[in-house]
Amino acid sequence: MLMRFLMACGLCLALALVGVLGVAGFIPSLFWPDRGLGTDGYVPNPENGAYLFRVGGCASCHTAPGKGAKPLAGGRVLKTVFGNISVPNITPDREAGIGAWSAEDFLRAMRLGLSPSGRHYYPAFPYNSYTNMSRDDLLDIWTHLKTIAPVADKAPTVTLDFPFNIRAGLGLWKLLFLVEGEGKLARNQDEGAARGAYLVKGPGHCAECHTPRNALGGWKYSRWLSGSDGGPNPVPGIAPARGRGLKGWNASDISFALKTGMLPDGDSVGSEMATVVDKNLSKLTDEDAAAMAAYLLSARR
Amino acid sequence: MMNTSLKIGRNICAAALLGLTVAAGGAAAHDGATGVVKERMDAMKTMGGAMKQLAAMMKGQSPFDAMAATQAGMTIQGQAEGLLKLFPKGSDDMSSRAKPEVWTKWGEFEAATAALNKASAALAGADMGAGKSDIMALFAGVGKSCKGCHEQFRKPKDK
Repeated sequence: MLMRFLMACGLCLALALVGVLGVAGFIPSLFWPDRGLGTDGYVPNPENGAYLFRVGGCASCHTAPGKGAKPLAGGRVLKTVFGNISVPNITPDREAGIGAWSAEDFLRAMRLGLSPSGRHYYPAFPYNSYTNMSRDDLLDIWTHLKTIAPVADKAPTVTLDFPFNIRAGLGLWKLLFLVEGEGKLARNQDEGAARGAYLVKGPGHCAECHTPRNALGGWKYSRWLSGSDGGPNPVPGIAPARGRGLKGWNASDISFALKTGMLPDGDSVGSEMATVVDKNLSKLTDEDAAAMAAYLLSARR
Repeated sequence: MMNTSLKIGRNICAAALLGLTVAAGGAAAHDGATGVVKERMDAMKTMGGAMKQLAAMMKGQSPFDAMAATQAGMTIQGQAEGLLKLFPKGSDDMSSRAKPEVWTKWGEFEAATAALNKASAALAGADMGAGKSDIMALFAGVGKSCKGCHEQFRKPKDK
């Protein structure tokens, strides 16, 4: 009797799970309604948009490798443990790019990882980080994106292998791992470190590489910024307060390394980080580099 | 049945042994270098030492001294000049962090070392009356060439 009851419970649970997965996957609006995505009261600051666009490194992924590649026209293929993912064109071309999008579409993509038609994006697009950004900063980036030369080349698409080619599965993934929206950051941080936390967690999207992931690809928050062996290359930790990397570094060592790529021992950064410094972090203002250093040195997550 | 499980067992043993060997090889990396590999590691260390001294100066951790900065530039250029000779074909043994691309993209590697040569020559030839921001710009140029080469041609550090 008990056995039968337990089995029935298990079956119900399984069905409920499949239901949730289905609904989250196919009707995203139920789980991710448009809250706070409007543009009311927005005052554009194009300079801020250009700056965040640059230090955030949008162009590094959205431009194909090699000389002569058209900026932001996509075409790069990201190799992940789940398979290869192609990067789209984000120029304002109406057909090939995102020229037909509204500002709300852009906010939805950056905050919730949803396309204008409600499709889930793969989290290789770091919306888990961008979701932390303020609405006005995101809209400033949108303002900047619209000033870029449109490119009519459609980026090739690569399809992932089963089961990762089923985007509905991403609905469940998001229910598990997407912590949406601004404002939960920087608790108990002083002002400098709070700005640093914002830059590290939001536009800088440092955690995407520097925080290890579990088997399903979600961040291990207990090992925040502790470095990772999971990717193609080992990534060092950048959490000195928890004994994970940057041992013995002070604030000026960190901000200097962010801006120049030079480490305190006279060595330089290499691999992917060399591009990140060269193209993005070297453009940081001194104040922002110092703020990131203050956050990385603090023990708060 | 017996035979299969024995075979599987043997394979597991072999795999474990291979794993151990690889791990031991990894642990010895960089320490056991000899010959030309050791020579180029020493050259990198010399340049790193000069960059460390410059960086400390730029960060304000040691007093700014244009004379010392140009001397550090000379130290780096002295090593940069002979760098290509320290990468003969086939010198990519276990202890080295040089990627095979050094030799498969030799032209690009050559250009990368030439960039270091040029940037360090500019620092070495800086005016004695140069201010900190001038030296910082030249230092950044050298740093950029370090990064540029390490990005493409150096394996990441073992964890």
